[in-house]
Formats: sequence, structure tokens, C-alpha cells
Amino acid sequence: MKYVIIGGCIAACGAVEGIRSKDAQGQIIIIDGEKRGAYTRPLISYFLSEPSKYSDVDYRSPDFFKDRAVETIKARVELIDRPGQLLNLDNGEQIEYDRLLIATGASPIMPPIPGADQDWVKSFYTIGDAETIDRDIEAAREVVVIGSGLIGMKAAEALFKRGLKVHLVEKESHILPRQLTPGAAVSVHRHLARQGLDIITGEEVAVIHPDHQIELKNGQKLSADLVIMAVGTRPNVELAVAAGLEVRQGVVLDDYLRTSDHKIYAAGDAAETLNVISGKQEVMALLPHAHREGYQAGRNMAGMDELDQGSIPMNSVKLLGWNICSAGVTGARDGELLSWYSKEQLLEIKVRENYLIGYIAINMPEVAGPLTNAISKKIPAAAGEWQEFVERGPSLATIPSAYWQVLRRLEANGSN
Amino acid sequence: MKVISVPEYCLGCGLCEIYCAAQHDGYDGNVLKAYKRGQPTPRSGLIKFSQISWLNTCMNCDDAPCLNACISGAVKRDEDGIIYIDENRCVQCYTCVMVCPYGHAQPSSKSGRIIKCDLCRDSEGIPACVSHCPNAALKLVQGGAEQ
Repeated sequence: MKYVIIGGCIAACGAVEGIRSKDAQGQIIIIDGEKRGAYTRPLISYFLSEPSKYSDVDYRSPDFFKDRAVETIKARVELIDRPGQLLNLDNGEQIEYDRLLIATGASPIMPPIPGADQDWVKSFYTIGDAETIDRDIEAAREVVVIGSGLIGMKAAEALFKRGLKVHLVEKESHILPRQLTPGAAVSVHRHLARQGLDIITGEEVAVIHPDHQIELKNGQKLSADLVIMAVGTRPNVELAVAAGLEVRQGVVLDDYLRTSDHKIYAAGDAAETLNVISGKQEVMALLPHAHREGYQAGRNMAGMDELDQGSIPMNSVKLLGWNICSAGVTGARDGELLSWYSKEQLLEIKVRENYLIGYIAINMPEVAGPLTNAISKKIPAAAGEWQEFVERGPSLATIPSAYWQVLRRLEANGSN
Repeated sequence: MKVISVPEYCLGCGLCEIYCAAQHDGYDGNVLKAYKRGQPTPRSGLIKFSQISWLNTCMNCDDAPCLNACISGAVKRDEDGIIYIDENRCVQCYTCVMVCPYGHAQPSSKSGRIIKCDLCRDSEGIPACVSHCPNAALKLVQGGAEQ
């Protein structure tokens, strides 16, 4: 069997591990267009905050691919020839495949703001971006970050730690709009503002003027030596579209992570996979998911017929000393909201019938693991148990007993 | 390999936590040194509610969520199958904490670093919690947990 993987990052590493868990012999080729090997993208903000300390951003050990007999070709794929089962590369080579994995990732969105094409307006997505910004801020004093998602927040934090004056502009009414409720966002916003971040919510950038003035739609002007654009990412699906595979927002997959061509699989930020809470196929561009999907696709490429279990949106992030974990749904219309807070801690959970469907935990990671798994494994509590969990004070001891019983069964199975 | 708790036998006395902490951070199993002069930090926490208690140990899961989800490659598995944290690579994002079904891996209240059971891999013999449990409520067994 000859396996070919397009893309050389997290999903590809997962796929290699998945293939090798079932097939020690088959040939594996990775076609990787990025200069750098598999590195971990969330670490680029750590690199930017302190380059000397976080210069190593590799995801796996340097010998990871060699140890698993994986050949890497540094090139870009120009075309997937499905009838011929081969790839045309931009270096003129042709590579045949028996099983193909599309792990092409995503790219940052550059919104059509007038002036966004100037060379001091940067995306913050690759280690190359971080290295460029690291050089550019030597002489910089002030920066505007557009977008307060995870990438924008981590970029703002890194630049703030480097001593720059940081303005953060978010068009939604609160920061981290996909992770936090408006209520939970208030405390995080205040924490960051107290440290000295300038956060402007409910406002959009209208024009980026060549004289380094950033004009907002309300007329306010900010000055900046550098603008970081962090308004989101979109899946890299061009190859899949050109090959005639079914694509919505990301590459559409079946329950086995196969595309509409069953010799071709997809995983990671380019793919739509099952969100077990919404029951829909969605792009969930998160590192743990990329690895898990890659691993599962790899096993199925190697002949297994294992259903993908799906996953849920989840994140854990530290911002200027505060930890924020969130998972599942946080939207206003979903379920009953129960909340608990003390001085610098906050917990919001969302309950539908006796099921947990979402949570936000600020500075209380100790309960996050069981909550994440109660959502993703759909473990029901007895009536009133989630209410009690919050009322008695959230802790591992107050997690519903039904949850621990399910885990004990898993434990027993595993020790056989 | 993993340590499992038998809640039916567990008295909730907490000796497991005490000997766990003393076995780590260079206290060499010396409880007095750890608790009178040091900053003892147990790797596994005792969970207690009403009459039930158990030590929340690491299952060293076969398909370990912490290892799979780690964004920096800091969560590793050694030759014996024991999952451990490479502190030089850990950036304290707590993604491993967020995905652990047991709530086992936790930030240290002292350093903020992730700490977890390492089955006392740096010392001889069976893990300190098992050898010091007065009621045989802790057992060292083979295998990991399914996820």
C-alpha cells in the first residue's frame, strides 16, 4: 500500500501514527509546501513573546518521520488526478497513491479593508509570520491587532509582553466571541485592560492610512507602526474543489473520514468533521482535533473500518496569567445557564435536560477535564446533579456521580 | 501500568497524598523533610464526598487524550508506557487538563506547572501511595484505560 499525505503538519503527524499503528511496511510520502517541518502553530505566539526561550516549536522530535520511514518531498501539489491516482507537483514530479490524505490546513483571512495591502499589515499564522513580526517590532512602539479570537488575543498578549502599546479592535460586542459569553467576557476584558491592553469592542477598522493612522468606522483614529490581521481562517480546499470532491466550507467527509472519493481522506483544518453537540459536520480548526482526525484517517487508510467519533469545539488558553477553558456550546439560546463565581474565578455551565452541553471555566481548570468529557461522551447526570455541582461549589468531588461511574467502567475494561 | 483505587476500601485518610508528595521534588520519601521544611505537592489528589473517597490516579490511557491534545509536545510516554511531562516544553496552556476525563493532570498550585502521577518512576519499588496505603485500597495493575 502506498500512502500519500498532502500537507506536513499536525494532521499529517497524526496520520503517520495512525497508519503505522496498523501497517509497519507500507510506503508513506508527505508532500509539504511549508519550508519548516511539522511545527505547532499555537506556539508561534510564545515564540513572539520570548524568541530565545521558545525557539523550538517542533511538534515531534526531529527523527519522528525518519523513525517511521516517512519520505518528505518539499513541493506543492498542483493537481490531484483522480482517475490516474496520481499527483502533479510543482517541481514536475508525478507521485502515485493508493490512499491519499488531504491535510492542507487553513489560511488566514485578509478582509478587504482599504489599506490592508500595505507591507506593515501582517497576518499572524505561520512561524514565518512570527519571525517577520519579531524583526519588524525592533523599532516599533505601537500596534493594532484586528480581531480578538484566539489568534488575535495571543498575538496581542505576545506584543504586549514585548513592551508595545497594543490596541485590540473587535467588531463583535465582546472579546473571544466564539469562546465566551458576554458575561464571561466582561471579567477577562477587565483583567486585560487593567494590565494595560487597550481593547475596543463593537467597532470595525474602516481604513488603514499610509501615514500609519488606523481609522475606525466611528471616526476614532489609532496610530500604529504595525497592524496584525487576525479575523479568522478559511480552509485550504482549492485542490479538493479542482479535483471535483464535495466541498462545503471544508472538505465534506463521511463517518470514516473519506471524501466523496473513497480512496481520498481528509483531516485537520481543511476538513468538516462531526461536532457531536450540534450533530453537524463543521470545520473545527483546533490542534487536538487535527491530530485525532489525522490519526483516525490514517488507521482507516490502513484498512480499518472505524467510525469517527467526532468531537466538540474546545479551547484552553492563558492570557496574561489567566486561564480560560471552554467547550461545547456557549450560545445564548442553548440550554439552561448555571453560573458560579468567586474573586478571580468563574464557571458557567450549560445544561440541556440532564446533559452538559457547554462550559466556560475561568481560572478553575481543575474541573475542566471531566466537564469536557461529560459533553463529548454525552454522559447524563441524574436530575438536579448539575445544579448541585454548581450550588455546592464546583470541584472534582461534586462532579455528578453518574459521570464517575461511567469512567470506572472504562477503567475496568482497560485493565483486562 | 497504573495505580487504581478501590473506593470500597478507601478510608479517605490521605496518607497516599502525603507519601506521594514526599516521594517527589527531591524529598526522597522523607515525610518530615517535605512537610516541615518544603512545599509538598502530591501528584494525585484524594477525592472525597460524603462517605465515598478515592485517590484520583492517572490511568496512563492507551489512547491518551492528554498526549494527543498537547499543543507543544510536552506530554510524552516513556518506554514503560508511563505518561510524563517534559517541563522544558510545557507552556502551561492546560490543554491536557481540559481533556483529561479524570481531572488527573492538574496545574501545581505552587508553580502553575502541570503535575501528574509518574508511578514514582524515579525511585525503586512500587509507587509510594500503594506501599503506604493502610487498607490496601490502592493497587498497581497492568494496562491503561480505554477512551
